[in-house]
Amino acid sequence: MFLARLGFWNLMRNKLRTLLSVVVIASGVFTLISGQGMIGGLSLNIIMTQIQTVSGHVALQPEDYPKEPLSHPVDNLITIDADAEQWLDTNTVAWTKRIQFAPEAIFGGDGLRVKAIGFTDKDETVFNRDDWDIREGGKMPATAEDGVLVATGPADLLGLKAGDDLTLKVRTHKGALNAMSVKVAGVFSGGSPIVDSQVVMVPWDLAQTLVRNGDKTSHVNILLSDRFDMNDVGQQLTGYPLPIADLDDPKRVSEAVVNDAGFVTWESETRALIDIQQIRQNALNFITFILLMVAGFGIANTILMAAYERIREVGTLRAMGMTRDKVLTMFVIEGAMLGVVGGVLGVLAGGAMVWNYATYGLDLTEAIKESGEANNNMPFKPIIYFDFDPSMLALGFAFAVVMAIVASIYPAIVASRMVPADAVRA
Amino acid sequence: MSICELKGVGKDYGSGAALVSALKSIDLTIHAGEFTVFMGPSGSGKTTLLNQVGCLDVPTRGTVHLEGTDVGSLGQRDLAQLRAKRIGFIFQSFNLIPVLTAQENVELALQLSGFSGDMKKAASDMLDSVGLAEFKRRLPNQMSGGQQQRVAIARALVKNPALVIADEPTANLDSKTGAQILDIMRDMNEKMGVTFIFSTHDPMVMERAKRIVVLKDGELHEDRTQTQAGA
Repeated sequence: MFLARLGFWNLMRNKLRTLLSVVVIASGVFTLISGQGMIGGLSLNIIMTQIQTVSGHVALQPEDYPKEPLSHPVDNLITIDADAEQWLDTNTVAWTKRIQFAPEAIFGGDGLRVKAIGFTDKDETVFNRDDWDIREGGKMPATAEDGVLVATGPADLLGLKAGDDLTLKVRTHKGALNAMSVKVAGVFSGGSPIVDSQVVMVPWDLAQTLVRNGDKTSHVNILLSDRFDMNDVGQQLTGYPLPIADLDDPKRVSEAVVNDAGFVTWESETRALIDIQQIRQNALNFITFILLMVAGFGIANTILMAAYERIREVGTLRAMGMTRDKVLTMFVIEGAMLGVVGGVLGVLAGGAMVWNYATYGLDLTEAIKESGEANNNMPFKPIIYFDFDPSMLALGFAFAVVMAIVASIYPAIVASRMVPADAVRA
Repeated sequence: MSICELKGVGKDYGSGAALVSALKSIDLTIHAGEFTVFMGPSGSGKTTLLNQVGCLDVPTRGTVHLEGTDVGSLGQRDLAQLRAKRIGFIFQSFNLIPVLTAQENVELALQLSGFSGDMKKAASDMLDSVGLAEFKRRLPNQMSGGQQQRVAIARALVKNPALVIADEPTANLDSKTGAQILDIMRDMNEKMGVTFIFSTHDPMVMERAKRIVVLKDGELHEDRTQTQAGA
């Protein structure tokens, strides 16, 4: 306790030097916490947007389904039979069929390739619509009679509003040309550029009329109780036959199949983006490491200067009977105090910022608009909610204190090895 | 009773052609209650001898016994313990810890010596006895040189040491203040029976000394006792 008091007062001797050391430590901790919070939040945003808007946890789709934007062929579709539906009802939280196709939307002489999503009445059980905003005058269509719901991007480009008649020109499942005039039930924002830039939501019966797909579909989107079961479920569904537990008749087991289907998962679809995030995270960790190294050298320098400035004091303390161990401890305590204060300030500042953006979100809408179409095919929402992880606060604090202690060991050893006979008269 | 006994003590610095013998071969016994002065010209070995007696340094040859303990046989930790409990130091530049008040500086000596009683009271009483009752809460830079040296005296004496080493204690003080400081130490020597050893050039100190040890070129040149010390 006495050594701690002595350490505190020693640090207070040169307030500016102490303050600078503390600021550098706090900056390192702040960068670590805020950066991890932002990147973690962005990764979570990407994953959740992928799940809630694009794929669910698992999406069955035709094998070799193309990844290119606005390339949604309907010539090769998958069939899901009654037994497979039963399996899905039993083994998943929710599932729905979606047929995706790429019609040309024509209005007022202008044509635009859009991404049409034929959806069933179970769609909302899989895909979250909390962030959907249907513009005034519009409504969510349920059947072909209601028409289609157009996202803000194509609506703005074509000048569409609720009540307009829009022509959709498509290739059917068999490859024939088909075109229909449909009513615009409303214009909506789905809260994500990947939806808003290109999507037209088409009720299932209207999609069937356009594509002539019958009961076949391009996608089956599935929600699971544990999103990390995605690969097991995907493999079971695309294997042969599906294990249906409640069937007594073995013949029916062999019929329980999703034909020619492959699957993608939330993880496989976001892997590239998450990998980029990981690279960013590594870069941030490197920058943080450099910052904390700088802070470490700053602390080492501060304590070393303090040791040399206080040679006579150290000599006096040694003459009075202070052991080398205690001298060493005294200087390490001074370093640790810098680490504690810098760590606390860094945690408070970084924690407050991350908590703020975790609660209220960081709105990047304008920045995304300025970036043009670059983000249109990336699954994320423009309001980023940071990942507030208390363990990261603890890690940042611990890192600061440990680094400060390590940095102060060398100068502390220098101080403790001073020869008292020489030091008292320095 | 002897407090400190030096036999054939020598101290060399450097090696080969650069070898310097600061002390050659000193035989000296300091008795309890003495008020002894080491004097001599610069480079005569006063400070080196004081370091040996104060256990701040170990001799190159010979032995130093403090209260019967062979100092050369002790490790760093035991030497530190010995200094903490049995030796008080007073320095020319006072050497107070600048971030601690007068009271805390004195308490520090008790803390290091492992004192088990009421430290605050013991430190306070000692400061009272050196006439610093009003200055206990002051930091060193808020006190005059004489006041700081009184704090240093209190710090050296508070742990009731066997020996107090005073290295030119009046060198940074004016003559009047120096005389006051010496009177305090002489008073403590007589009242408490504490053994004092000084190194000095100051005639005032020599006037008050009971014993004068003169060093020259690292050797004991003269060792005399003054019967009219303090006159």
